[in-house]
Formats: sequence, structure tokens, C-alpha cells
Amino acid sequence: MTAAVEFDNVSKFYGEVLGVNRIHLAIPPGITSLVGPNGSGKTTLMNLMTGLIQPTRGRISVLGIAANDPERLFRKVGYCTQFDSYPSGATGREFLENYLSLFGDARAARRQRVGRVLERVGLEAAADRKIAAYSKGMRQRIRLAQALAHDPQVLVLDEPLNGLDPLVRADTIALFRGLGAEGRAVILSSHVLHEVDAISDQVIMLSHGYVVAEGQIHGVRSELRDHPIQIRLQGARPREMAARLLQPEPGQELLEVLEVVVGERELLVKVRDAPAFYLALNRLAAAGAIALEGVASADDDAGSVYAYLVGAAGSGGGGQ
Amino acid sequence: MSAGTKANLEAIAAVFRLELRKTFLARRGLWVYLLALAPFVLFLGYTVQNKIEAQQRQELAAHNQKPLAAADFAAIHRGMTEAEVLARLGPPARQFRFGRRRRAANDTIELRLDARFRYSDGSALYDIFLEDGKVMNVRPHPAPTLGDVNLLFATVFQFFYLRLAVFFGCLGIFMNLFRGELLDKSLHFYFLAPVRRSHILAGKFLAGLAAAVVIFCGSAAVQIWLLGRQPGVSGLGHMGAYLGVTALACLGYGAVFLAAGLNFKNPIVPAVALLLWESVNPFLPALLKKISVIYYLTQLCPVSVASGPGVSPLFALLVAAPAAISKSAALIGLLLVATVVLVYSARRVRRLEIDYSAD
Repeated sequence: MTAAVEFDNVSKFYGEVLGVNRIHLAIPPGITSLVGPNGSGKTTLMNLMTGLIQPTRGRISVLGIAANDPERLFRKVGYCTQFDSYPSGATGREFLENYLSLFGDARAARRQRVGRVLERVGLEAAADRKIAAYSKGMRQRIRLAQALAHDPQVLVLDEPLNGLDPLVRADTIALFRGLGAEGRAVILSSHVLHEVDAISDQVIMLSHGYVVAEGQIHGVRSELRDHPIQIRLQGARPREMAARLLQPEPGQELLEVLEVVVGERELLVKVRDAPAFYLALNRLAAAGAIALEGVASADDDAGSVYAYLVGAAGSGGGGQ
Repeated sequence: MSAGTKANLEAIAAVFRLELRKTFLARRGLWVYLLALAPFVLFLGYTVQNKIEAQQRQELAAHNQKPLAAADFAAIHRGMTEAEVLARLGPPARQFRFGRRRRAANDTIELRLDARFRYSDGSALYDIFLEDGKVMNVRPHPAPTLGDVNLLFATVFQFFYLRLAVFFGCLGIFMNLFRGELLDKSLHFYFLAPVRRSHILAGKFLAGLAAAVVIFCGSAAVQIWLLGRQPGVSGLGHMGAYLGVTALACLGYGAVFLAAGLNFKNPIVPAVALLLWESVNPFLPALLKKISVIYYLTQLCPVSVASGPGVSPLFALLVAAPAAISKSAALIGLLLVATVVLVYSARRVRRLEIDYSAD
């Protein structure tokens, strides 16, 4: 798949302070989440790919356009930053129309686009109110509308779910999914790791300015061979299930289980070779040796993966 | 016009339109209006005073027992007695008498009677001061002539308006164009649009220039109009030249402060440095003089303050351009300085990074 955004050996230093270092990335279309705590370099990466800051070294291109060519870049890219940029006294509609006036669109076309994007972010009712009177969530949505207004191919969103109430949050996630499904690249940062799991096609994990992992979460997790995989087995008789797994009856194969934790209606199992375990588990269940009601991965999520990669302290996430 | 040029102009025009309203209505720029209006308030006071004095001249002249002329007052000299004055001029329209205690040679306190007689010949007021019944001084208060008003305006224009009002006004307008938006964390509104940064700079600069020209040329025009309405003065000349110099001052200082806004976080630093540089301009070597805005502006002013009557040598040195050059050379010099600074700013803005966390 052709990469939407490419970083070629990119480093950024703020004086002597490291922003990001030796970044090689090829971000494909779809939803990509940047994950990492404060100071890990998420916003630096976003600012680099939108040309707001220049790399100290290396080269960045977005859809083949150099990041320092705003005339071409921002016809294809929309960036929703964490900061407001509203002229005082402007209404939501005026703000978006002003922004689109910089694209050289005719007034009628601008109005049409503004109407569409306001509808898309659910702000039609508040469009003619002054932004100064908007709630935090509405401001977040008008920023999102600004990034979407010109129908970009690449969307860069810095903490786009911040301040949104659960209902709007769900709508916004659905919007991102829709954009990703249309073949656009949606690159977002979020400190809410369970949301990252729900949204992302792939993740880029950052720590102290370095990319520590990238790819689909499941793929990244399976690469972490030093950490046993945790699987949650649900059933009415967890103790009996644990006994069957650890001491199989004659003729049944012995599963390689490293640790078992018995809960009320579930069993947490740590294994080294997950595919082999799942295969054997299927056989046991099919033979009626265990009464299994459900199976789920217990640490195949962004939070766990990040914690394994950079230590538990780093998994808190955050906004830089 | 090629499609590329048209697109470039449209981009600049779009930024210009958005900036214009912001620049005129910026809350942190309200003091710019006050600065621009300060000389108007001064001249309004001057006009009111002149009107009152003109009225007084007519009223007092009506009290004269016989027609008086300047020659009658020229004949009054120190040492004349009060009776001689009254015989020559008749009773004054107004008189003020007051006693003063003074220590005599024999260390006794004696009372001295002083007086001030005020006359008018219709075109000037005259105060005659008497001590112990003898004339000590005759002080005329003539109505201001066109030359007086011209010199007054030229002095205020060069010494206050250009060097302080327009200077600090441009600081307020042009430094905010970029620095203000960095402080508000809103500059990315433009930097995330498909507009070349040099075009953003051009649009912002032109909007700032339009606002500065309207505010300061508008104020200068009103000042000139007001001064031209003094009693006995039929219109002040050189309005076109003054407005041109004001517009050029906005251009020159605007370019300099736009560049300063791209390089300094604190406006005080460049303001003080530039104010000092412009102030010591008369004392600089010939080459350094030319790297300045005020050097060219003073050359372009239509009335030379330094050559006016009663001007102190130090003041003349401060306000004069010692090495006179032609007006066209001054105009080209100023445009050259502004162009160099703007080209530098365009290069600087291309490399400008938005990192609000560092600001």
C-alpha cells in the first residue's frame, strides 16, 4: 500500500533538547494512532508532517508533497491542533468561511462546503453563534470542522476526542472510521488507550522521541516474545477448567501454560505460544473436556503493549 | 495576467481582507488611536485658546477711547509714568493692581504697588507692566500668523508625531501581526492554509499599512484642517506632503516593526533600541545615518523646523537632517530600506516555526 506520509531519517532538536530522533515511518491510509506519554514526541511528529516546524535532519513528504510546501500541502492535508485560532467575535460559520476564503473558493462554494462540514461534525444548530460562547466540546468540534472543511486526503488530529461528551465521542469515532474507510489517512494522537484500540488500524508507539513500535496492535503484541500472552477464558467452572488445562486426562495433549489465575467466572492464562494454545484449546472444547463460554485476549491492547515496550510508567499517555 | 500571478494576488487579498478588520479593531491596539489623536487634542486646545484671544482682542479694542495702533504701543517705553501711558493710550480695557511687600535698603518692609494694563488694537493684545507707577515692560500678544502655525505644526509633526506617535503606533500595529498571534496561539490559522508564507506576510503587512495610514494620515489631515481654521489664517499648506510623509513613516516603521515581531518576543527591546538609534541619528557617521527611517522622513518634510525663528541650536541639531539630500533620493532611500527589511522578513517567515509550548 502506498504510504500517505513518509518520514525519512527525521530528527528534530529544540536547541539541545531532543524532539524526535531518527524517525523512519511510512504511514498508510486508514486510521493511525500516535501513542505515547507527554514529551514522547507525538505533537512534534504532527507539527513536522504539517510543516509547522522544520526537521533538523531528514525529509518528510505527505502524498509526495514536501512538508514545507504549504501551497500544495494544505490542499490535501487538514490539521486539527490543540489550540484555538478564532478571531474574536466570529461565529462558527464565519470562522470556517474565513478559513476557506484562503483556499480561493468562490463564496457560494465556500458556503456549501461549510454547510456540509458543520453537518458532519454536528454543529449546524450552533453555527451562527459566537465561538466565544461555545463549550469545550463544541470548540473541539469546530476545530475538527476546520481541519475537514476542504475535504483533505490526510487528516492530522491532535487529541481530537478531548472534551467531547460520550455521545459526540462515539459519533466522532464513527466519523473517523468513515474517513478511514474512504481511503483517507487519519493520523491522530490520543492519551485514552482503549479508544486507540477501538479506532486504529495501526499504531505508532513513541517514547522519549523514538518510535518504539509501529504496525497493527496485534502484530506488535505478537512480536513481544519476552512477555507471555495473557488470555482470558470465561466459563461457569473456572477451577475445573484450570485443572483440565494443567493436568490433562490420558490421551489429551499437555498445554504449555506458564501461569493460571483463577477468578470468579474466568481464568487468566499466560502462555508463550498463543496460536498453539488456541489450537489445543479448540480441541479440548470440541471434545467437551472444558465448558468454555468465551475467550478473549487480556493484553492485546495498546495500553498493555505500550507498558511492555516502555515500562508501566510510560503507559499513562498524554499530550505532547 | 498569468493564472499564477492572479492566484498569488488572490491569496494576498484573502489574507488582507481577514487581517484588516482585526487590525482596526484589535483590543490591544486601542492606544494607537489615542496616540494618533494626541496632537489633535493639543491643536484643539490651541484653536480654542486662539478663538478666545481673538474674541478678547475685539472686545478690548471696543473699550478704547480712541483708535489705537501698533505704533502707539511701540511708543511706550520702560520708565514712562502711569500718567504718561494713560495720556497716550487712554484708560486700559482691563487693569489688575496688586501690592507687593519688599525689604528696603534700611531693612524696613515697604509696600510696592504694581499694575498690569491690558489693551488691544484689534489685531494684538498688549500687556503693560508697571512697578511703583513706572513702566517696566510691554508685552504684545499678536494673533498667530500663517508662518507661526506652519512652524508649530511642523515642530509637533517632526518632533512628536513622526518620532513618537507614528513610531509607537506602528510598533503596536505591526509587531502584533505575527507576535500577537504567536502569543494568542492562533498563527496556525494561516500557516495551515494553502498560502505561501511570504504571501501571508504580504497580506498582513498591507493590512497593517492600510490601518496605520488611515489612522495616522487621517489624524494628520484633521490636525492640518484644524490648524488652518485659526483666526486670520486661511488654510495650512503642504497637506499633501505631510500626508505623504506620514504614509511613508508608516511604511518604514511598519516594515521595521514587522521584522522585529518575527524576531523578538518582547516588543520593548526593539522599540527602545530603534528609538535610541533614530534619536542619535544626527550624530551618526554619514553611512550609518542612512540605515534609518527618520533620516529620510526629515528630508521629505515640507517645512524645516531647524530654520525657524527662535529655535535652539540643540533642538535644531536633533530635528534637522545635517547632510541634506534631494527629496527623490530620500524617497528612494526610504523605499529601499523598507524593501530590504521586508525581503528579510519574507525569508524569516518561511523558516518561522510554530511551537507554542516554547513561547
